Amino acid sequence: MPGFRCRGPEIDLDLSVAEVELLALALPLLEAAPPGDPGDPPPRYPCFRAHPGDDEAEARFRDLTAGSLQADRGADRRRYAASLERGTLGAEDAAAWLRVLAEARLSLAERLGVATVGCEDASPSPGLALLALFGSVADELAATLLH
Amino acid sequence: MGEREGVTTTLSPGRLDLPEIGEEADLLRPWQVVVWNDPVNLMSYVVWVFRSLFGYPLPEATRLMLQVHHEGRAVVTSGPLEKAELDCYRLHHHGLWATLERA
Repeated sequence: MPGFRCRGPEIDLDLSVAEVELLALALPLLEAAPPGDPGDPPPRYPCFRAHPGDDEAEARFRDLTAGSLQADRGADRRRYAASLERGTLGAEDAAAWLRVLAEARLSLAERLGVATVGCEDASPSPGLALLALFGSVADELAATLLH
Repeated sequence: MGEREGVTTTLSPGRLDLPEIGEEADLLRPWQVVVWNDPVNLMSYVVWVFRSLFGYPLPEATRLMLQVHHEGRAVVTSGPLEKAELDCYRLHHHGLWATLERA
């Protein structure tokens, strides 16, 4: 299980080669994610509506934010890849990791049809195992940052 | 009304539309940012997001997360529409289902 060791403002990654390879799978997973449908609830990742039931306000919101969201997510993924290779995380890298892992879990859960929390522990399928791994790493990193 | 030599100006009455009391009150109502529960995002992650984005102390961030978890939703910030939309965008960037509604 991946570990995080605080070293002043930096966090060192204690990862095996296999763990690095598995965590790196988050990136092609996200690159291959479908664009999504900004329909009303239940929301479909990656399109969350800000103004449910108000198409005009929603269109205005998307005009303002769509480009930024794409750019921000791209920047997160680049940080994730670079810091995974480097083996250390700064504060911004850690935040990017959490966002990338959250995004990867949402994308994977969407594809696998995960409907309830914890069901990823119930099946040995590779997809659910990967979902669980991303969750464990994110949980440990969040706990490290919170305390 | 003003006067210059040989010229007299007058003001003609114009129409001034003032908002009704109810309309004005509605325009002043702040917007609330609501975070909704989902089956994927981790509780620890949601707490971190609330602390990271809004500066909540750990107990308050945890309280809001638990409200989302148990009640299905929680109001996490409020304010003018522009601020609320920015907060909503930041939550979307973090993968949280957030919507906007009038207070």
